[in-house]
Amino acid sequence: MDVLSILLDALRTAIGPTCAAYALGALGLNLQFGYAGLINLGFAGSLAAGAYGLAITVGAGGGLWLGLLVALVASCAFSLLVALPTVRLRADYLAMTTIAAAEILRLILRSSWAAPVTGGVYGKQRFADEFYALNPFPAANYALGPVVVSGRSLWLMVVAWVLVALAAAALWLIVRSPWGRVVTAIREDEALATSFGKNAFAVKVQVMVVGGVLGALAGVVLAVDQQNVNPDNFAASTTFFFFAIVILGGRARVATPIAGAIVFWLILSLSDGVLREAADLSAAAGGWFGQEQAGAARYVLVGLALILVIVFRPQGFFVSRRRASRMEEVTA
Amino acid sequence: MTTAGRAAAPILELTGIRRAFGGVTAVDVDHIAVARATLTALIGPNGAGKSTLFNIITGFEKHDAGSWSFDGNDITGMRAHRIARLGMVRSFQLTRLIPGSTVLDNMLLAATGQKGERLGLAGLRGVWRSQERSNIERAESLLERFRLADKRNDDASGLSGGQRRLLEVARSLMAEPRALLLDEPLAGVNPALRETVMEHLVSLRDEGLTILFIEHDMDAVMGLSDHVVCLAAGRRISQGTPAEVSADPRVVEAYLGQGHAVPDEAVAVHPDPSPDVPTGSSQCEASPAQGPAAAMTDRPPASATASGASPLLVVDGITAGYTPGSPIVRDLSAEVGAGEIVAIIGANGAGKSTLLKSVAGVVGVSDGTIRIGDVRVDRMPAHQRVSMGLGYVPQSQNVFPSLTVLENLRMGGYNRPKQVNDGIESVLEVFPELKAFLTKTAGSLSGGQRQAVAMARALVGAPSILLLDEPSAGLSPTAQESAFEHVRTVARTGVGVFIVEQNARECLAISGRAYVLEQGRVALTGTGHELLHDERVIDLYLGSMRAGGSAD
Repeated sequence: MDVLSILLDALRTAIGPTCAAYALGALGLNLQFGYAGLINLGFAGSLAAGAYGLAITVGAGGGLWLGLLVALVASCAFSLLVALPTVRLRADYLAMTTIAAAEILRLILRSSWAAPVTGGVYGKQRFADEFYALNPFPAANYALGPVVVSGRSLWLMVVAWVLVALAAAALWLIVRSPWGRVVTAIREDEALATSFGKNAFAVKVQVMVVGGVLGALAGVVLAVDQQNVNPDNFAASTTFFFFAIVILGGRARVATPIAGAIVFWLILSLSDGVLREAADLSAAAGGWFGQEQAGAARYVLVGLALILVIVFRPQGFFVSRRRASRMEEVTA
Repeated sequence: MTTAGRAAAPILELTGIRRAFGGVTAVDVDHIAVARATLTALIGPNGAGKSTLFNIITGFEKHDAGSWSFDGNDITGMRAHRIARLGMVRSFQLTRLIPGSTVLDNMLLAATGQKGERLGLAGLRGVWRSQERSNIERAESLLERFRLADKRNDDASGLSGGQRRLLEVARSLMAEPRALLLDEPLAGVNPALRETVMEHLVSLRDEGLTILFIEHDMDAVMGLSDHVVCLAAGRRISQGTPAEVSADPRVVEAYLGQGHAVPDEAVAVHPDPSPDVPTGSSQCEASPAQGPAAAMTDRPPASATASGASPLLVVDGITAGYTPGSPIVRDLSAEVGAGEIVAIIGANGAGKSTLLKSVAGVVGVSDGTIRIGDVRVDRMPAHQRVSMGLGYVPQSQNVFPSLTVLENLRMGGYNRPKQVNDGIESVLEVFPELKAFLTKTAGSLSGGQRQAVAMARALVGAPSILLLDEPSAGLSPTAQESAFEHVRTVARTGVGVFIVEQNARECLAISGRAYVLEQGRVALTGTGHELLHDERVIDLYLGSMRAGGSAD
């Protein structure tokens, strides 16, 4: 078994643009779920709005920058459309209505009726050439420690992680402001915040929009990385990956979703490597455990890790137990 | 507030406010005016609609009819945060602090007009920094005033009950209110800090703030307020100076129930041993709590059931409450025998419901034991206690509103599916009026009918002990009478009834024995008849209010 190559693959995934995109989105979901307590199960819809906003605009000849603008506007529109009628609802109803909204968006995107614009089930391809044309890194291989990447992927990696850093910095500023204080207060006791004249409804809508914009950026990074958008990339399971990341990392801390995203992709990649090796060995010995089983089994492992975290470290990997237990004591 | 005309006009005026939940009218207030810079108390027995009225006028609850204005603005139906921004700031019955936040952060949250609360400016520290600094200064001087300055950076949840109330008042002041609406500002405050809280309220009033407060501590109400408004069953039944209100017989009646002379034989009628015990206990003992053995003492007698037979339910020295360290019920002992009606009475907040809940297993018991027959049940989960022969009818929300009456009754037989039909049949003999409603949903019934369904459902489980939490609360006088009649019928079948009641007179009249609670302890115990005529019981309910009234 080639341990070294498995570790290298895991490391490559952890610093790659996909992981960065998930970190970016998780920052947004953490604002909604961790700070404001809004269970938005339609988070994948924000990613879809961003990715399709870019892909459709560029496909129609609008160019990269207009595409980005449309991506952000589309995600704001989607967030408002979802948030305005729903954020007044109790948490469980909010969860149900948001998951429905995201599914409606996905089904519209993949419908044959919308296919002339969205590409239907085939989605849209090759809309990021302009982005890669801006690549300042000469076409060569670059060694990042033990991991070697092409100039092309280095370009997207740098952009994606810079976006993550900027988003984290912006969040850090706003959650430490009086606005952040109101968000926390609304999560803990909406009626109390209202009794001091805080407009809980407006603040929750703001949270949905800001979180959704970060989701849209995540969608854009993922789309640019693959030069491909497909409606089924934005199914409910995508939302659950983001929730897994936020829960793994720990809620209501600015940087923990980034750590959560890295841990999530390390687990996924490591288990993938190990299971595929195991499948090869099993196949050689005539066993039943093949590549197909290995592909599914890695998600089983992620699920298991999630259950273990929730049972033994409900506050997440990167939030201290002291802080968490203090909060529990108070809410009990 | 400079011109005499404006000062004379009430700051808060309520007209014709009505609110009903299902078939029950919670609030039906014709007119209440609150004068500027006064301390106005809103009093009334449990379920009078005080908190609902608070919720309506502060925008936290819908209203069915009526209008209200604050400082010249019609604020009828205005959303809660806008009412708060106009300067009418409320507190809640249970202290509410932001957990995990410091005392200072709790204070800062309440400041109004903060630039940094706008999302567009939140990231620009320079824009809001100076305002934040001045808010911090204001918060610190308020904390100083309320002697909380040394707690500035403590987690707010570490404060004592009294300090929480002080923080709540201080925090409300951060919002620069013109009127404060306080829902039980003294609840959970220890005696030492009570005085402090009250002094603060008086000095705020002297500075020109209007304070409307709900309070159950009658000594505090009478000592503090300039004006008292009394609600009962949603209506305003009396208002005036504390002396006027305490002298009003309608107020005493609202607290203690109908004053119509209870014939003495009412007590004697009840505890006849029932020869036809269909369900429940095997031993059905004769009239408990009669004669000299049950003479009044300040401690519960060692064996409360005068007959000498071992009681069915024995509560021995229990301590119980909702948060560790602040028990509601302390070292309390009580007993209920078969076929006996035992009342728990006392002022609001004395721990009556908590006692029942801890027996039912809904509230945890930290000390002492509870036995049903020979079985110790205090560590059992609630549903297991039901199997041991306990029936519990909570005070409110005690029916499944979307299920039919029959389905509700079937739920009561959950533990004994085989006997459920027999159980329902025998229960319908006790509650014949329910036969007409079997297929109607419980939510469509009136308050009195719901109460009957709830009691009947508990009886389908064939309990030997029935716990009733205010079965007459919110009911019309006729419905109340029939509720009490039902209680007597149930006891005649041999079931021991442990009953909490607001309507003390009516309840004592049908009870064999009663425990009078005060601050979580048994203050008095005796036969229903004795307590019915005991001046001390009235004092416990109304505090020195009565003294004030008679002195007037």
